[in-house]
Amino acid sequence: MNSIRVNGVLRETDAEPDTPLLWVLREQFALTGTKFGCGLGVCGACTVHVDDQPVRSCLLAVKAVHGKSVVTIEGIGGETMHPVQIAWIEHQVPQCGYCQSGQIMAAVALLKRIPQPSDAEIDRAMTNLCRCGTYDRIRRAIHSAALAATG
Amino acid sequence: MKLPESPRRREFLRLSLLAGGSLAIGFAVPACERGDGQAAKRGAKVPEPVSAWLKVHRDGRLTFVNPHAEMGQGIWSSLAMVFVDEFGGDWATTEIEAGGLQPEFRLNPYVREVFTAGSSSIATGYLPVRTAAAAARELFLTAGAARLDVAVTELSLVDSRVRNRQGRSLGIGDLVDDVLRLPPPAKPTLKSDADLRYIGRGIAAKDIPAKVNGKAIYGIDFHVPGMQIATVKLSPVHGGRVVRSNAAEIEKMRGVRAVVPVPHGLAVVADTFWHARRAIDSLEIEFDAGDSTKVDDNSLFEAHSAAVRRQDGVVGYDEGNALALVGAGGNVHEATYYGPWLAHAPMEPMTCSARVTADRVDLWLGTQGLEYAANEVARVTGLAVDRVHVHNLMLGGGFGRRYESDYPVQAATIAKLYPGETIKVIWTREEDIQQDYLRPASMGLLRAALGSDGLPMALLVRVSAPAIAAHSPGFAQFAKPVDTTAIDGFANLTYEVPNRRFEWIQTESHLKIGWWRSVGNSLNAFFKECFIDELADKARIDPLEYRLRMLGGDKHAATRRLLTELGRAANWGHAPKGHVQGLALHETFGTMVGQIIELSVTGSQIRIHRITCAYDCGSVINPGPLEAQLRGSIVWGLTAALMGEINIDQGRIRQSNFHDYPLLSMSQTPAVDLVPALSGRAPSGVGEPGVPPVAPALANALYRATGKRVRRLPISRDGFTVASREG
Repeated sequence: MNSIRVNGVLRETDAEPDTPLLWVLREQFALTGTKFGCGLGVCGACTVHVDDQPVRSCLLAVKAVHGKSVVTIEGIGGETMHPVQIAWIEHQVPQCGYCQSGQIMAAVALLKRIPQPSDAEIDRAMTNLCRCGTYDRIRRAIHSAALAATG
Repeated sequence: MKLPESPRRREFLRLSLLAGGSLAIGFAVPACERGDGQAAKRGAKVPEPVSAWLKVHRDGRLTFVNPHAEMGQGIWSSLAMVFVDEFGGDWATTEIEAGGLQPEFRLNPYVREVFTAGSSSIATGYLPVRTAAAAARELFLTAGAARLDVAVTELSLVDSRVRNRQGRSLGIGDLVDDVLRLPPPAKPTLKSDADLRYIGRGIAAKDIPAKVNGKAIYGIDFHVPGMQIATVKLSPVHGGRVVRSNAAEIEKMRGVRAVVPVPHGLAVVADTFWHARRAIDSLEIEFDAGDSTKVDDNSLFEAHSAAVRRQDGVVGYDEGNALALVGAGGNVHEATYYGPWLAHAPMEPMTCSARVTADRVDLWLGTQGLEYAANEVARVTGLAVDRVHVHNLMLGGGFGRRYESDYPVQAATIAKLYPGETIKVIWTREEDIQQDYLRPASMGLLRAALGSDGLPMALLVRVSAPAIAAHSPGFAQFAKPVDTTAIDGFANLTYEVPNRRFEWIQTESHLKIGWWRSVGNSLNAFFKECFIDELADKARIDPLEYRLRMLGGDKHAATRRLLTELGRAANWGHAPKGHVQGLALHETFGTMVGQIIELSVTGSQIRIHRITCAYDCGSVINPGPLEAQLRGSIVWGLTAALMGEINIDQGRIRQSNFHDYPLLSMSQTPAVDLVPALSGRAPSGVGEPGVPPVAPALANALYRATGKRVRRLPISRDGFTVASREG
């Protein structure tokens, strides 16, 4: 039995210990906001935060997060929306939207690490793939969220 | 802006009362109700028209029933916006729901099917939706006038309230019963441009908040308690069949319920995706695919090379005396171009949930081919098509892949074995790429005779390509005599060339082929626009000037304007030192797009500095999604041109995931400037037109840098890599 704090709530799972966290989240905990895109850790659609770090959950065995704290797209906003989510809506970032949970989680982690990132720092950190090509609006939304944080 | 011409058929509004008291407003088109769709052709019963484009609830809320699949093109909100703007509704309280198989949703006059493809949703839906909305508005104003005892001319419908100038108003919910008693208006009057609030200006999309907070439901997210999960493995060599497998052993794995047959492969049915996936990965299957295993990149290339040398192709058009003129001596130029197989790879792999009972099928999926899916599932379950209920969810990318019926048929095939149970099929990414309906490779041989002015006075185009349209029942009529996808971009050449001839050599293989964003234009533009550049070079005329000279007369005034605007915006001919520019111009599905790519080359590394993209889609309906689609299609086109290649080894696709089928990343995406060059005609689509000019503009720019022509895609074949954008 693995025990994880997900979005602030203690959850338990009897999934085999080597089950990827992605599928435990989606199927055992009914948190379908985190998406399956490749299963290889390349596309980033499955990005969640584990102890505040961005992690590709399709490659992370659930046993590795036993006793840890996981935050998903459903929990990143808390009571209201996260400033990154607000920026995402303001800039109408998503097209099909399937990659966007992962993009947002990666962006939140970036801004925690670098509150005022340059374009080059955004490029280096945001390696999540988007087949619809929303990259330029992702970049603008990150800059907006960074600016909003300066008050 | 100009509105499209009224279709010749008669249209009328239909009103009905739904259970619960809401008013349903439909826009029934008699031609649809005769069942001109494919189902009727096969003698199947056509569903009773359920007339509901708009629902007016007693509390005044509106629900717009959207005919189309939402795959990131923004049609979900755009079409609802058009209705609400013309009607006078309150956008804030408007909800949108997905339509089903309703005859009035067969909006395309050429393809009598409910589908979303071909950059046609706005072009085909704009006028019908506005007309229906205007008629609905007039009904509510008439009802309001009677209730308030004033002339209709004293009233307006704003934010879902019928108001007079003095401030008296009635909510539309309160007028439902009155409206039901009225005859629908014969010929409603559309609002003038001055009275529109949203059309042409834009609106906040209704689907975006859920796509930002994780609540949006895609096909892969659909869930009911107790549902079973399946995943599949099909013959990697398309068309093959299962000979034997170790299914009996695999069925013993934890969580596995059964291993069952599906067309061309096997499915594992289990309690969770991970259990299904582990089982499918352990499943050893022997397939038999016969001679198809002998096919590879070389044999396919050789087949095309031989094909374009043939003189007996099907003639698509033959104006003047092209064949003789390009055969005579003199100033003749010839070039042959080739483009590879490409996969779609939408971010959400193929997935569909199905529940089959004795008298009903429910499908939950994201599909561009709603009617096609219903027809094919009806066929495999033996039920009438009106018993198949398609619940269209958000699509994690479509790009033409989600038009196909293979994955809903697969889900229904499995679900049929478990009557009453809901089975969700989720493909692995490997299966999604390996079982794609590919953009086929094709080859183009072009030969031109230049006149004394250096311009082509005769042009022969010979394309070796398979018949894409032929594989879809709804589009098969466009496969003869020449498959429309093979001649796209040449039939509508744009440039004035007095002698023109087109020949198609149909070259097939065992590989599954399908509709890939911009379809035949994706390679025909590469053939055409690279060749035009080669002719310009031969004539020693600037490529932009060369094209302008072939676009004389009033007919091409808008295109000349677009090209000139493009050149100005991109500073054509004045690139900074060390930079080169390449140009391409192409019309796709009625929308003209010109692009200039500015890049520099250092060794084998390409750095793209800027892409300028001018477009004429007639008029702008919803600017946000329009720009998003143009930018997105440039990223799509760049991925393909720079690095896109599906290789075939021993009959099967080599690539299987994003490690060997890479997509352009954010760091590789250059700055794009969009330049509107709108002619003001009725709107055409922008989902695909931004794709075709990318490859030739890139190749034409590379020639300036290297002196070498790229005649075969992708660019990476010549050893080029793409550097990250400038910071």
